[in-house]
Amino acid sequence: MRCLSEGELRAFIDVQGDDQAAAEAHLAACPACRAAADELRGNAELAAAAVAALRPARLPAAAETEAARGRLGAALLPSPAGRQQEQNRPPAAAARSRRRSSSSTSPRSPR
Amino acid sequence: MVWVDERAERLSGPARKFDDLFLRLYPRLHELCHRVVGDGFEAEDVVQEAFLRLAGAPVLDRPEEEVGAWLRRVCLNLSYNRLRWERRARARLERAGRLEPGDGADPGDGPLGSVLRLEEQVAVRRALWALPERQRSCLLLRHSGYSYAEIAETCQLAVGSVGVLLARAERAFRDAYQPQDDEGAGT
Repeated sequence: MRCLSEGELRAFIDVQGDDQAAAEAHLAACPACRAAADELRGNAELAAAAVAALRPARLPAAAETEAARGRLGAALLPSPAGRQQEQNRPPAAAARSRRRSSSSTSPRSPR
Repeated sequence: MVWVDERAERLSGPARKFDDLFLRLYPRLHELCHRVVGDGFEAEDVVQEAFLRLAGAPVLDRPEEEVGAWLRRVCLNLSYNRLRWERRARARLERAGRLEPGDGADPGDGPLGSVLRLEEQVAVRRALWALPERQRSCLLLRHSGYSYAEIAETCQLAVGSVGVLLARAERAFRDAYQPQDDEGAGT
């Protein structure tokens, strides 16, 4: 097997390579690739430890997740009920709100 | 739990899917954003905003892996935007002399262990910030436990390109992070 590219070596280290066995056999026979893999492994370990320091104490619990879902609100759901409500809005109210927004913000207003 | 079941009964297909996705994906998205922004409340805000965008987006009809990748991408971008905004605001305050130059972390008078942890977190975030965005995301995702396939979908890369991007990201991270490390060791 030819020498491994940097990307292939990095994937091998994470056991995400296309052919782990072939890569392993090549590394056993190739000191240059072994040295390159050692450097990548060192960098990966440093990054792993650093990102681990950012880990929050714990994942949100189920109750916290449901509370967050509640805070997001039901009105925003793409549910037919919500759409129906919008359609059933009295036309007068819709027209009023349109007028209000156009009179206060329209750049074409003469004054 | 009863609450969820009652809701599920009166929700239509897409709405139920949305709820379902929220309950399953929220915890890990929250954790990911927390790593970036360093605050639980702000992380919740970011994830909520991502789900708000999902509610009206066509991607909601796609398979779950795609929706998950889309949400991760939006969450990371929103988190980066907040940090960018925060850094600019802090720089303005520093220029106006209303804030001591520094990292903005307030260790308060907690125990020494948590002060050191905060300092380490500040150093890690600073080094991560020095990386190009895609490398930063790739490194963060990998070391938050995501697979190469998940990283590829999130960062919109071929799976075969994840290794090389990650190798570059980790080398750049080492170069940005180590100098501070040496300084600390020297004092």
